[in-house]
Amino acid sequence: MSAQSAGQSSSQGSGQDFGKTLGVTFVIALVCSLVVTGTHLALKPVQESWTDVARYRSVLDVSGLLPDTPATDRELAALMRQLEVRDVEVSRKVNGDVKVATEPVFLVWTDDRLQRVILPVAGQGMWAPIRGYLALEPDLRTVAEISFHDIGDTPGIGDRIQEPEWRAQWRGKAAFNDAGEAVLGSGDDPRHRIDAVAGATITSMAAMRLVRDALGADGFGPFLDRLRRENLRPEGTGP
Amino acid sequence: MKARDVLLNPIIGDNPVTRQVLGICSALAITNSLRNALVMGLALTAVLVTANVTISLLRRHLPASVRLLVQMTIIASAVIVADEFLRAYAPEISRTLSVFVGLIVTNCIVLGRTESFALRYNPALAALDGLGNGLGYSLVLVIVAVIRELLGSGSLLGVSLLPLVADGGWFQPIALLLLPPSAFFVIAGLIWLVRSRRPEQVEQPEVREITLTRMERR
Repeated sequence: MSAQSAGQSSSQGSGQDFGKTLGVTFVIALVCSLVVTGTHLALKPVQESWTDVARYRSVLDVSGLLPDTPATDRELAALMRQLEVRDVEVSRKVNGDVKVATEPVFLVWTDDRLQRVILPVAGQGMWAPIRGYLALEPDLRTVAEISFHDIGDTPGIGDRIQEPEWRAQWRGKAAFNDAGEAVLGSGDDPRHRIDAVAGATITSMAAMRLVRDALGADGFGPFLDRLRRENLRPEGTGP
Repeated sequence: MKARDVLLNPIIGDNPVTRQVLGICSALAITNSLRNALVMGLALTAVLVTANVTISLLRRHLPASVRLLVQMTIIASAVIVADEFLRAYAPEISRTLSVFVGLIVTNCIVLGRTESFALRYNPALAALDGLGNGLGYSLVLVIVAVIRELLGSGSLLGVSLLPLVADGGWFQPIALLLLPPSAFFVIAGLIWLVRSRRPEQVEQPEVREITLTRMERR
């Protein structure tokens, strides 16, 4: 019980002055922030390596190459090497400014026949960024598959756009209308229409919008046009 | 204060979940699989021991007027560090636990222990108290998770134990057990079980029943 009385007398703090209160609070806050920052910086490389794995998994998820059984990291790396990577210049709107950036597009070939074209899609969700990959069939118009590997919106609500049931809706949808505009997910036409996840409408609509942006003239639209004019042969060998 | 009591009391007799009914939010959310429950229990225990020891070491210097703020700063730092480690070394689990690791900050067990115990006793006892309460919380989580995962998906730690009808077996899983409300029923059942064994834990009713006369009823 002696420990108890000692603790109480110190927390009553009859002799404590304002200066000590400020000083102790400041030192504790400083030490805490150093510990948090230190841990974050020390563990960042390890965490980022997992983000890469998640990204590769997402690319392969939509490539149609992934086996049904869970693949090891080594198998994933081997499959990644089968893809042809092309760097494409796209303009992205960042805080109102249009920025030109180079983004990797993945082409899936089997025996010199194009199977799928995989485009990165990214943009603002409800209040945090969403990143994913969209795979198009060789006609470069029909959606083959979509997958989101980084969803910053509310866990358990916004991240339901990654549920297989919702993503299955995208399969076979026409990405462009007859005029060649990217209209995926908008309007009532059943060829383009995608229903939002109940309870996650804003995130779902954002996902559809960022896919339309990626397919539009500022995104990969010009690249897809160029690809259509090509003979659809692999460019050199895989990476 | 015997060290043994400090460590063992919170496990059943003074369990933070069944006796004090604290930390229910996370117990409801993440107990649908045993793996999540184990990791969550481990994370909370680590945070609780760290916070208890740190605050016990500082107990003679903590200014009384900003005591709670300083404790929350220390607890929040411990939680962020634990979350960063999970993100780095258990990314899959970190993703399924999502916000609930971060929400340990607001888990009433942690501030409850630092405020009622660590401020008054030496670091060694505070460490034991943190460990005991962490284990008590983990025990409840594990029991609830075993019931929910086994009867809800026929497996434990992801290993199938009861062959499901869907895979040609005989076991029809109880889908309700995978939803958060079922954790309410299971935890309530546990609390009833403990209190029927230990009637001294039953709280006295706060409101007494009175009989109204026919006149008063109108």
